Amino acid sequence: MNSDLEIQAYLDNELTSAQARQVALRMDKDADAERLFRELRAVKKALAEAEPEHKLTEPREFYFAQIVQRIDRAEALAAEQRVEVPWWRRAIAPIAGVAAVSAVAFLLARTATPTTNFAQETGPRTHESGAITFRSHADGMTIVWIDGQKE
Amino acid sequence: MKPFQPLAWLVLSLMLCGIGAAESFGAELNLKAQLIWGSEEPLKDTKCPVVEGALAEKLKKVFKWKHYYEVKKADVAAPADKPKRHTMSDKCQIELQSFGKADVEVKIFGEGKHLRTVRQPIPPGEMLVLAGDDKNDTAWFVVLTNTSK
Repeated sequence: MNSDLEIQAYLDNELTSAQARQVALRMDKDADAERLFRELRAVKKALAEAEPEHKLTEPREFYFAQIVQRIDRAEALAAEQRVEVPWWRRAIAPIAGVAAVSAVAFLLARTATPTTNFAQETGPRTHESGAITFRSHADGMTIVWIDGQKE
Repeated sequence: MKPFQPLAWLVLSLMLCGIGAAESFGAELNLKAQLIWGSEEPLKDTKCPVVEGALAEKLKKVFKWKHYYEVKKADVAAPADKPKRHTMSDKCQIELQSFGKADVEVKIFGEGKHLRTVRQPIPPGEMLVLAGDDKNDTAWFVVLTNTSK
């Protein structure tokens, strides 16, 4: 641990007994370390004293009880407003939506022409093992030449 | 909102989904199938009619053979539920199955052996040609034309 951090930890009582003894010994021998300790202690004291005190208008227990009461009242109100809907009615909207989208997709697919998948140009299209596929869009013809008559 | 309205939309949407699903999962496709023989030289001892017209022009445009003869012509069906086999000649058979929207799977058999499986959409008015070479520098062609409008 960094020596400055050790001094801060020493001030905050966050060290073990052995570690605290070591830091105290170091501060006895090292004037800079001792000066740092005094500065940190002064800052800590100033912060503690400068913190504004907030005074409650009523006793602490009564103030806390009021907070708990307000939370309980809000939860009860939310529970009253929650309407119990049967599961099948909750499912109607999403199911109807999915079904409608599917129906539209199928109808659109019906009107699409198969020729949209064809290559437009004339010429060699694919060459698979044992066959060459050739498409002539102008002639409306697809040719599959089977090479060697074996698949 | 009345409770009936969302239910009505749900039922209507499900019905439309069902119709769409039935459509996309296939309807039987009617095709015209032709088994054609191509040759460099004109064949003198054949009873097969010469292929003429637009089909001949298309074949000549693509292939080197100058003369085409129709061995067999038939109206065939590609069912949706299971494949159906059609005999084009002693040595040639095809098995067809439709997968909806003019998508057809064709299995071609030569001399009893499975040569190739091809799956291709055949739009109305268009054709799929399966072809291969034969002895004496000739070739065979199976032409499948979608005759639906």
